[in-house]
Formats: sequence, C-alpha cells, structure tokens
Amino acid sequence: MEKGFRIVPELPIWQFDVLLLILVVLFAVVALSIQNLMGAAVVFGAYSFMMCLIWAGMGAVDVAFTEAAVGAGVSTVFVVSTLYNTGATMHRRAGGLGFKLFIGVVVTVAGVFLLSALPDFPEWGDTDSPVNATVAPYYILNTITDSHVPNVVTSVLADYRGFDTLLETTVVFIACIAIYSIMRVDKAKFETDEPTIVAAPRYDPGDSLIVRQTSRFMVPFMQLFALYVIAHGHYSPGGGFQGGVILGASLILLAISFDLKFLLRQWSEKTLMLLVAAGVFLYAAVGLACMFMGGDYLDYGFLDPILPGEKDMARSHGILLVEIGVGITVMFSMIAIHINLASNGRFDRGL
Amino acid sequence: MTEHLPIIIILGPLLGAVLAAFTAWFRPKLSHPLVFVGLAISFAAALKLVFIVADAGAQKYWLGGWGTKQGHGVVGIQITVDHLNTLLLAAVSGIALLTTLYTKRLVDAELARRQRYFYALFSLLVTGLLGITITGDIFNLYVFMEIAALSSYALIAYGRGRAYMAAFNYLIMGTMGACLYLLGVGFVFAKTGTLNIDDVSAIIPELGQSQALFVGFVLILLGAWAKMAFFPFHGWLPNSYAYAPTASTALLAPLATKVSVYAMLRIMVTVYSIDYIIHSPATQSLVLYLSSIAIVAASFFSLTQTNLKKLAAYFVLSEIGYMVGGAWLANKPGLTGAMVHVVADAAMTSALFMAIGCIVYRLGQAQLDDLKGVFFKMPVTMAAFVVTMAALIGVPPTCGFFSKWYLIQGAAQAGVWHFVAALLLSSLVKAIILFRIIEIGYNRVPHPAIEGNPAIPRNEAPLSMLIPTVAMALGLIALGLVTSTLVNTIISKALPAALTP
Amino acid sequence: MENLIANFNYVIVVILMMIGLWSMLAQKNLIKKCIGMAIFQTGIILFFISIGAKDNALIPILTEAANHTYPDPDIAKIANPLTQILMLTAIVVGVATLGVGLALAQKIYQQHSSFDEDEILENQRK
Repeated sequence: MEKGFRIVPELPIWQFDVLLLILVVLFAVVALSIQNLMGAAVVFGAYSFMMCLIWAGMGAVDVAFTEAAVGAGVSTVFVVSTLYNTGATMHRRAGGLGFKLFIGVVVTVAGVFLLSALPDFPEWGDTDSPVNATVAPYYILNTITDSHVPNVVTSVLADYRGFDTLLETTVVFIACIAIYSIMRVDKAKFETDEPTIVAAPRYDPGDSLIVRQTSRFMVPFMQLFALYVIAHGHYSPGGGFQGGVILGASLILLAISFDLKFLLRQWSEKTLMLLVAAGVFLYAAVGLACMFMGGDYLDYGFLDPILPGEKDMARSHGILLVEIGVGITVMFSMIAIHINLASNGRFDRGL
Repeated sequence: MTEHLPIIIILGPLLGAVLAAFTAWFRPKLSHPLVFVGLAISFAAALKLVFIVADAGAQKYWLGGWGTKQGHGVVGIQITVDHLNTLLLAAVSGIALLTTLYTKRLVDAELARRQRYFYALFSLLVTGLLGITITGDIFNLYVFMEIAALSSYALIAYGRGRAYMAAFNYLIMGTMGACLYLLGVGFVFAKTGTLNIDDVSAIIPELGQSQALFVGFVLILLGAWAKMAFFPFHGWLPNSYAYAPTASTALLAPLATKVSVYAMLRIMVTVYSIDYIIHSPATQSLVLYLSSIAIVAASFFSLTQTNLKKLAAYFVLSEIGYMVGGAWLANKPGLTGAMVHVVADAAMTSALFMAIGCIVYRLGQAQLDDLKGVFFKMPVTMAAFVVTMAALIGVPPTCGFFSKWYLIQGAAQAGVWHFVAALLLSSLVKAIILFRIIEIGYNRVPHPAIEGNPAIPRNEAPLSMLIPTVAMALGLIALGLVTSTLVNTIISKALPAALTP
Repeated sequence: MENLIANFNYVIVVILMMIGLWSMLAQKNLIKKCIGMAIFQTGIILFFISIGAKDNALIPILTEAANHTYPDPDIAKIANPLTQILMLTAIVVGVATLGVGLALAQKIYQQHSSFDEDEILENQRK
C-alpha cells in the first residue's frame, strides 16, 4: 500500500476522472450503434475496462477487479462464443422510427425525473453522508477484532453479509444449470429433434502455433495467480469470485486456443456439472455446521471447536472455507456456460 | 430449535435443489423426492411459524448472528416473519408442495428425457419466492428476486419453440424491473445509510420531505410493477405462461406475481409508511385509474382468447389489478382486501392451473373447442374447475368472495367508484367465460342417453394429479370459511397503526 | 449548475441508465438488447460506488504498512466497503443474467436465423 495506491493524490487529477466518465458514455453509445455485432462486443469490453478504471479511482479495488475479470473478460467471451455460432452481422431494417422516438421520450422523462433528485443527494465524497456514517463504519472499526481480516471487503462479503454471498453463488449456480437446460441437446436425438440452422464457423480457429504455445505457457501462471487471489483475499483485493473467474478463464483460454475437445478430455460434462453444485453445497454446509454447533446460520464463530484458533480466527477460517466454495462454483460455472454457448449445447466442438 | 425456524424455511428448498442437482447425475429418480422433502420441511416450518406469530408477534433472525450494534443499526442481514408475511409464507410453501406432487406425471409426459434439472430449478424458484417474502433487507430482496427470476426464465424456456422468445422478453422486462428496483434501493440507501427494513422505516420519517426518497419510492414501485406485470408492463406475461410447459406454469402463475405484489405491500406499508401515499393524492388516483384499466383491459382480452392457458393468464393480469388497486386505496378495508387477496388469489390461480393441467394432460391441448364433452370425460376435474371459477367470480363461501368484499368495501369508503365498477365487470366477464365453457363442455355433444350414442368413456387425469387439484379446490372453500379468523388474528395486526379504523 | 458539476458522477449515471433503458426497449436486435441491459447494470453500479466514495480515501484494506493508524483506523480515510460488496453481488448477478439471455438468443437464432425481433415475430405468425 505505498503511494501508488493513493486514490486522490495531491495532484488534481479530477480532469482525468471527468475524461473517463465522458469516454464511458461515448463507448456505450458506440457499442450500441455499431452495425457489426462482433465489433459491438469488443467495444463493450473496452467500455467495461474503462469502468474498472473509474471504480478503482474511487477506491473500489475489489469491484474493479471483479469487473475486469467478469465484465470485460468473461462476458465478452460469452458474447463472442454466441456470435461464433450465429453470425455477427445485423441488417438494419427501415421503419419503427415512431416507436423508437416514443421510447426516447419516455426515457428522457425518466432521466429528468431522476435528475430532479440531484440537489437532495449528499455531495460526492462527503465522509459524513448517511451511507458513509451509519452502518459502514462498524465494519471498518471491528473487522480486525471480529475476524482478523484486514480486507474489509472480504470480511463483509463473507461474514457480515455472508447470506448475500451464499445467494449470489446460488445465482451463478442457477445461471449454469439454466443455460445447461436451455442449450444442451441430446446427441442421439440431435438429428431429428428440432431443425437447427447452424451457421458455418466464420472464424476458423485454425492451427496457430504461436497462440497455442503462448497460452499453454501462460495457463499455469494464470492458475497460480488465481489460487493466490483466493487464498490471499483476506489481505489483498480478491477472493472467491475473482479467483474463480480467473481459474475458469484460464481453462476457457485453453479451450479457445486448442479445441473444446481438449478441455472436455480432462473435465467431462458430468464432473463439471457436479462441481458446480459442490461449491454451493460447501458454502451451505459450512452454514449448517455453524447451526449444529449452536450458533445462528453462517455464524462461523461457533466453529472454533473444529477449526484452529479462537472465535475470531474461526471466523477467519470460516471465511476462507466459504470463499473456496464460491471459487469452485464460479470457476466451473464459467467453464460450463462457455462450453454450452460455444458448442451450441452439443459439447463436442466449437469456439 | 424454534428460533431457527425462519431460516429453515429457506434452507429446505435450497438444499433440496442442490442435492437434486447432484442426484440428477446418479439417480435421476431421486430428484423429485428430494425436492419434495425439502419443501415439506419448509412448509412445516412456515406452518409452525403462523401459530408462533399469531401468539407471540414478529420473529426476527439475524444471519451469522449479526444483529443490532450500538449506533450502527443492524449490521448483518435480518429475516423477519411477522403478521404481514407469515400467511403468504405458508401459502407459498404449501402450494409449492402440492404442485411438486402434481407435476410429476406432467413432467414425465411433457419433458421426458430433458428433465434433468427441472426439479432443481423448480425448487430454486420456490427458494427465491420464499426469500423475497421473508427477507428483512432491501438489498437481499434484490438478490432473491434474481434467484426467482433466473430460475423462472429457465422453467419457461423448457417449453421450447415460441417459449424461447417469450422467455427472452420476460428476461428483458424482468431485468429492467430488477434494475429499477436496485436503483430505487440505491436512492433510499443514499439517504438513510442502511439497508435493514426496520432501520430504514425508522429513519425515513426523520428526513421529512425529500425528493430523493420520493424518486426512490417510484423506482422501487416501477420495478415491482414490471415484475408483477402490472398494466403498462404486462406484455411479457400471457405468452410466457401460455408457451411454458404446463408443469412450470402451474408453479409460476400462482406464486411469482403474488410475491411481487407482496414486495410492493412491504415497501408501501413497512419501509415507507402508508402516510406517504395518503399525502400524495395525485399519484394515488393515477395508480387507481391504472388498476381499473388493468382489470377492464385484461377482462376484455380474456373474452377474446381461444386457448385455455392464455385465457387463464389474462385472469392473472386482472387479479393483479385488484391487489394493486386495493393496496393503493390506502384505507383499512382496502389494504385488508389486498392482503387477503394475495393469499386467496395464490390458491385460486393454483387450483385453476392445476385443473387446466389435468385437461391438457388428457386432451393434449387446451383450445376451447377441444373441450367438447369434457364434463362427461373428466367430471371430477371439471367439478374442481367450476369451484375454482366460482371462487374467481366471487361466489360465497369461497375465499374469492371475502377478499373481493373487502376490496369493494374499501373502494366504496374511499369513493373510488370506477374501481368498484371494474371489480364487478371482471366478475361478470369471468361468469360469462364459465358459462361458455359449461356450454361447450356439456351441450355441444349429443347427450349419450338421448341419441343412443356410445357413452363417452370417463378418462380422468391420473390420481397423483387429480388429488392435488381436488384438494386445492376444496382448500378454496376452507380458506373462505376461515377468512374472518385469519383477518382478526393476523392480518388486522399487519395493518399500519396510523390508519383510521 | 453548480450542483451539476459537483455531482458529475450522478449525471453520468442517469445518462448511462437512459442509454441502457432505451436500448433494452427500443432496439430490435436481441444481442444489442443484452448489451443495453449490461450498460444499465454498470450504470447502477457506478451510482452505488459514487455514493460510497470519500475524498482522499484509501482502499478498504487495513494494514500496518498503510497510514491507517492500524488497528484503530480513521474512518474518514478509508473508502466505504459496504457499497462495494453490494456491487460485487450486482456484477455477478449481471453476468449470470447476460449468460442466460445469450443462451436464449442463440436458441432463437437457431429457429429463425435472425436476431431481429420483427423478423422473428413475422416468422412466428406464419
């Protein structure tokens, strides 16, 4: 945490923030008006990166980290793999202008209505605003005594508001099994079941030696970093989500640079889908264990008879356990979702 | 153990779903019983809590033991069971339990080999709905909303074909609703600094007149309306419910929209006080007009439908108008009516879609013209159907009569006659549709005894579907008989104290 | 006007929200709708992060190396952790919704070989 991490240093750099904010709006407009959908996906990825910078500038490093991994990284891959199976061009059709104008008016009215609340807001950066002075200080003042976790974001995420995180993991799990149920086609019935129009692959993955060797070289480092992010989330930005997404992305990178089959040889469909459920189960089971030890649901403090250390260290270890659960679910969900989208639900070949 | 009951309501279906996702790969047959057991545990806990709440008042539970801290308010997440939500919790878990029994045969018939994750998603949807009902934290409510929403997109998409587009439209509208809700929560959070419902409701009166709070209120309401398919946002609902598999609709239609109505009631009554509505008469009368339009338009469209499932979907839309209107009357009978109707309508819609499911199971589809002779073919199912329609029309002693009575009383007391007219018109339209179905089902075939035709063979739906259907229809009458007890012991205590009697 | 500059972040939030909402409702292309949805969500995240920002604050990690007067930190110098956690959840929910939306869009494309809403509706009427 040297000088480099200071958010607003002595030099006035607010112009930089304003520039970024304007660029974000510009990128949003471009992403939505561009004709080529592949281009739109790429511009949208750039938009997400720009957002990361803004959030990091406001001290939200964990959020920026997640957005970089999820919004700019995996989301873009999802859009690209969808387009791989469909087609990237969109033909603009005439007409419908009246409807678009009508929606425009509605949206503008909504915007003016939102802006009408502007004078009522606490000023930007006010340290005494209700948000900064009511509940939040408790976390900053007590995280060390409660759980010995210096990263306040981690302790709030997994402990004080751990229930939200359990449900958030469930959301990822639901998305994974929902996409599986929507996309997966029975191989035996594939020919007869429903007529499908599959566009010919537009971007031949080909045999690029450089891409293959580079990604083969990079993957171990990515995975090592991801494990560090999960395990060191107590002390530095990161945690189960970010680490899980990076782990998932490392395998997705392999799948893209080699072949989907390459990935499926190591991780079968069944293993993947079982592990997705296993992460949520681990999280929920830790909560249940707390209940059986006499505490409230997710009160890791009561795990001290089975985890090393006193109540506060038991909390710290409990947080690590649930973060691992989150990491497992997120990692395998991302892979399973990618395989479904990229192979059109056939689990054989694809992007 | 009693103190853990609130969380057990959520954990039952959640763990049931996760375990079902495991067994789906080893023993697919185990998924259904696992989900059933999870929901049964949840229902038992919810039922027990109804009595506890009636005796001892609201029960609160803090996740991770993070309760109120001096000077900061509640720092964790709180779940609450009080007079406002306890009945709905029991209704949601009970209806879900019966629906689980009911859907087994339908799923085997409709989805056959694609049902691997159906029960897991089914159970997760119930988790989300129960969570929206039980939570005492406005952000946690958003997360539960998304859990319910994502699983329902998948359940609708199981219908394939046109269901994909219907599910996509629902996804866009649903996400828009959730985002508006979240933005509204942001506005409330910016002014109050806390997310706990009790703490927010204690702080809001201190802030006085605040434009940010008002904008937040409107955003939250718009979000809830998009989720419940209230009038300007209703477009996604009929197609979604009509093209989804009957098994999904049997769970979605009775519960999903009702729970969103509850969320609106919770925000109106507990988070913001009811004075907020009484003091802005312009908004109030606008919403009342919208409710009347919703009822009348939905009734009109239901007359033009030829598909039984779509027709029932328009009934759902008109009932939403009842509840929103009743809540916005903001007087004692109106609010009572809305609260009773949330539970009553969940039961009525469930019975309706169960009966329709039985018909679809035997006839293969549900066009009105296919119903010829159905009264001879499936007399028990049709008896349940007629009882349900009677409840929807509002014939005493079914539960539909009592809730409607409260609503009309409330509207008359507030002098909102267009709402009274809309309520009566909607009953009339439902009666017309019932008689039309009776006419098709009884009379459009030559009577076997008269013309010497071979008798139409009786061919009821299987017992595993028929028993829940009949039980639900009988439940409507039972619910009607206990309505006054429920109102006196539970619902009257959920009304805000500020209301004049 | 003074308000507008002091609260520039909020103005951008409202603009992003308008862009996203317009795109979700008025665009005909399903993929564009999905992207609009994601833009709406990031706008909301920006809003939450903005209300939790503090002038001259450090990231919410309390270590001895940072000038946090550890272990008894100065609240005014540390960014608000609560809004950040809420938005972590929102980001993950956002990507989950996006994934499901894309899966549905892909299925629709297989039936109609188009992402255009009008074309799909025409096809369905046939």
